[in-house]
Amino acid sequence: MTRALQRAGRLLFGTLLVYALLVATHKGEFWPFSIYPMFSQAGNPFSRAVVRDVSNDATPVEWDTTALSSLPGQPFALRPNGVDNIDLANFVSKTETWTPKRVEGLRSLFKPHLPDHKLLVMRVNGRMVEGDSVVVEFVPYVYMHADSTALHPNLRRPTMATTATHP
Amino acid sequence: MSPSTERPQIGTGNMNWFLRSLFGFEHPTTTAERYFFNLFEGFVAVFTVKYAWTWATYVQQVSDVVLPLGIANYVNVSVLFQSWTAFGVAGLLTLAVLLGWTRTWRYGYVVALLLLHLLFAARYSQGEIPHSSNVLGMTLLGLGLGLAVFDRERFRRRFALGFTYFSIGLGYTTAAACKLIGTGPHWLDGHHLQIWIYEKSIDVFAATGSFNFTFVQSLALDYYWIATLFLTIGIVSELLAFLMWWPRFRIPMVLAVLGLHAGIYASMRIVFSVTTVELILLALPWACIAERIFARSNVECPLPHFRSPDTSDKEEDFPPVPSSSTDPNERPLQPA
Repeated sequence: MTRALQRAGRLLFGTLLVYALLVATHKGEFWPFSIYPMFSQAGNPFSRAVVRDVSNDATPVEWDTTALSSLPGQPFALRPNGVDNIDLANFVSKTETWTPKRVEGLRSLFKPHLPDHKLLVMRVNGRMVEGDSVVVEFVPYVYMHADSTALHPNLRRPTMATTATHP
Repeated sequence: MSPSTERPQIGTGNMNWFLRSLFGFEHPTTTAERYFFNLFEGFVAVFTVKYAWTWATYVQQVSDVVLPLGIANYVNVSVLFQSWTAFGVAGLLTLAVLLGWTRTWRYGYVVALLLLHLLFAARYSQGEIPHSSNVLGMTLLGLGLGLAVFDRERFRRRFALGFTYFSIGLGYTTAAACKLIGTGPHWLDGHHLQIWIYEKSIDVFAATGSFNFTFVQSLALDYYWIATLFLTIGIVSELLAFLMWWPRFRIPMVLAVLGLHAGIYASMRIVFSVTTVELILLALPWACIAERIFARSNVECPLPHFRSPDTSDKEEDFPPVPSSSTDPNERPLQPA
């Protein structure tokens, strides 16, 4: 084996060792190392988020779960407005307690738009039912305007009892 | 028989054979191949810098860490949020890439990778764990290690490309293994693709405000067996991706992985644009094809990106040469 090949072999397997150690101790992810677990949990329910522009709605916001065909207001497209939809979905689904800091964090994503838009952030829950069809539900979560924020009544807040449930 | 395909005895001989197949250090290099590598390295350098500035810009609107990734488990990456510090890191990274690219500093790419990791940890602290930049990151690591460890450009080039093929093959095969371990053989069930189609359509709906299914998505939703077929083709392509470690399987396996990405786009509208372009660069022996076209050479192009040796099969290290331009193993572009 040539010296160059020996050196390359040591580099390759040394990198493999570091790769294995880092992903083993960091839940499979240590960029650029990864075990690539995307789509490995098939059939699980999913959670996403969409935003509706309810500026022109005359009625007060309703907190009932709804379907795609009866969403309030107009679509508020995230991409042209500089918001990453996956970040928003994770922010919404991973927030267990809606502290003032969390609410402010959400508002900061939409800061430039709040002075002239009333926005409703909705969590989207999808799941497979009876093994062969998909149900998608839209749950109103947070209503935001220039100087006000309203949360779904069932969302957990710092002062609420810990037994409150997510919608 | 060429050194890359010569099958030796069990043990270190097998390892020797594997490493020679992967890196092809003994293969001669043409001028066209050097041009190709410069293009490939430039592609990686440009998109490394692009990612850095994009992520530094994005963290200006982030205020809180939702999910710490990588180095964010140990250092407070929130110092980069809404701060010029992030642009400072991107600026340093750009300088490091330039120093590596111009061969001014041999650790330039390694430092660039570390800084890009820091920016990645800050940018993706919001819960999303994307894999669109992993292939580029592993390629940068290959370039960085090659530049830091080897003195000769020829070895740096071969190491970077071999390392890239190795990491891509490993990554896709690992992804398939995760699926089979995480769900089991019934991962292939077409209903799983159907729920992902809804999930990704909601992503598109959130991003663009418009909800609809493409023709391919409609097919997979209407016909369970088509959805199952898509998943079967996908996981088989992933599972066998490690075969690209050997030159004779490189073209079909990289093309199969490209086909996998085409299928992912058609069925779920997920685009890994930088990864796809890199795979296109790695799929075919472009330098050899260019040589055939522009130099009217009749040379065969059996392997990406380095042809079979036409000099010696001896297992000797190469004699030192003053510079890559006078390397006797780097033949100029010549008509046959």
